[in-house]
Amino acid sequence: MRITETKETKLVDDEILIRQFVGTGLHHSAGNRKAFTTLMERHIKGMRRLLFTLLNGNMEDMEDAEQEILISLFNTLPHFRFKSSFKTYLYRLCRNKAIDLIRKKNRERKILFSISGQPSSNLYEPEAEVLKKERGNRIFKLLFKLREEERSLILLKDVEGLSIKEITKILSIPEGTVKSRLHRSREKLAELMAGEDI
Amino acid sequence: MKKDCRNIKDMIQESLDQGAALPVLVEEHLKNCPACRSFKESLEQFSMKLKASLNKEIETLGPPKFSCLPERLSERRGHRQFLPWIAALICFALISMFGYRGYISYRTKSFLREENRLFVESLFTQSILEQEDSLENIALSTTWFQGSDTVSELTEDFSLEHEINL
Ligand SMILES: [Zn+2]
Repeated sequence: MRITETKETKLVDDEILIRQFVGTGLHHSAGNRKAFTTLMERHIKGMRRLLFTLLNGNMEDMEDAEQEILISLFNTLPHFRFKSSFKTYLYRLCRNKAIDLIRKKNRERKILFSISGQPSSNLYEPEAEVLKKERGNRIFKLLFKLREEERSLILLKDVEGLSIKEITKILSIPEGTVKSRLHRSREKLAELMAGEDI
Repeated sequence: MKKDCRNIKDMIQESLDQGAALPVLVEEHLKNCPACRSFKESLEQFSMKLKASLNKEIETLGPPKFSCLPERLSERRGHRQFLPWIAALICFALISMFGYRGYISYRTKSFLREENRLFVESLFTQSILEQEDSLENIALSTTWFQGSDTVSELTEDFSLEHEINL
């Protein structure tokens, strides 16, 4: 099954789908479950692009994070108060899960290194498999040179096309800071690109 | 020129942030500045190429695994509707417990009080009986001193005097 982000699916508002999913008590009914899967299929591409960007293209970690996110959404959406858009809520959740996973992996790596007696590296290394591939190779090499926040800013603004206000909510930093950090991240990227043939 | 480029780069980014067209001033600058032109182009290209590459990568992933979802919504929510009842039950239990303890301690206290009273009374009666003689002596000596017949009369007089003085 291929997931498509078509305009027709967008006709039904996210909010309507969430309300259908939550329903009025029979949350586990087939219809409500369908509303949840429709909602997620609509946003899965954006969610996976963010996870790939933050998790260095590690597919295994992406799958783990994705499952956790799905379960978390399934359980927390009934308490969603529509104070922000679902998209904002989802990206925030994705970013937090990715950061949690990176921290967990780094902790495990530290323990492993301390046992083996080798010097510890606190870096969540880019997935070697991804960098070996011809397509997108250089792009990802560049992307993975950026820090987590720099990647998030560029991806959310320039790839996902979110507004500065939405990014403010996702990253929990003020609007002015989002702008200045985004500008610095783009400049850093442009500098990195100057030395590469993209 | 360098300071100009700094401003132009900011303006390019500002347009990107707003999703707006570039100001004429910037367009004019770009015509004559390869550095700023390459900055703008590389940013645009990067986001385009990144999106295409990301899409290619995620295409290899299958549909989301909805099978990992629980059969029902979180049990947490199921329990939530019983929260007020649970709270009420706890309150009732606490009130009953402390109420009962209070009642018991009151009963014990009043029982002790009664016992104490009887004990003190018995002591008092005993001491009165023992000291009757000496009390009589005191009363007599007071009478002698005040020139009154009894101690009670003496007190009455005193209170009367006191009232008059007021
Ligand atoms: Zn310039």
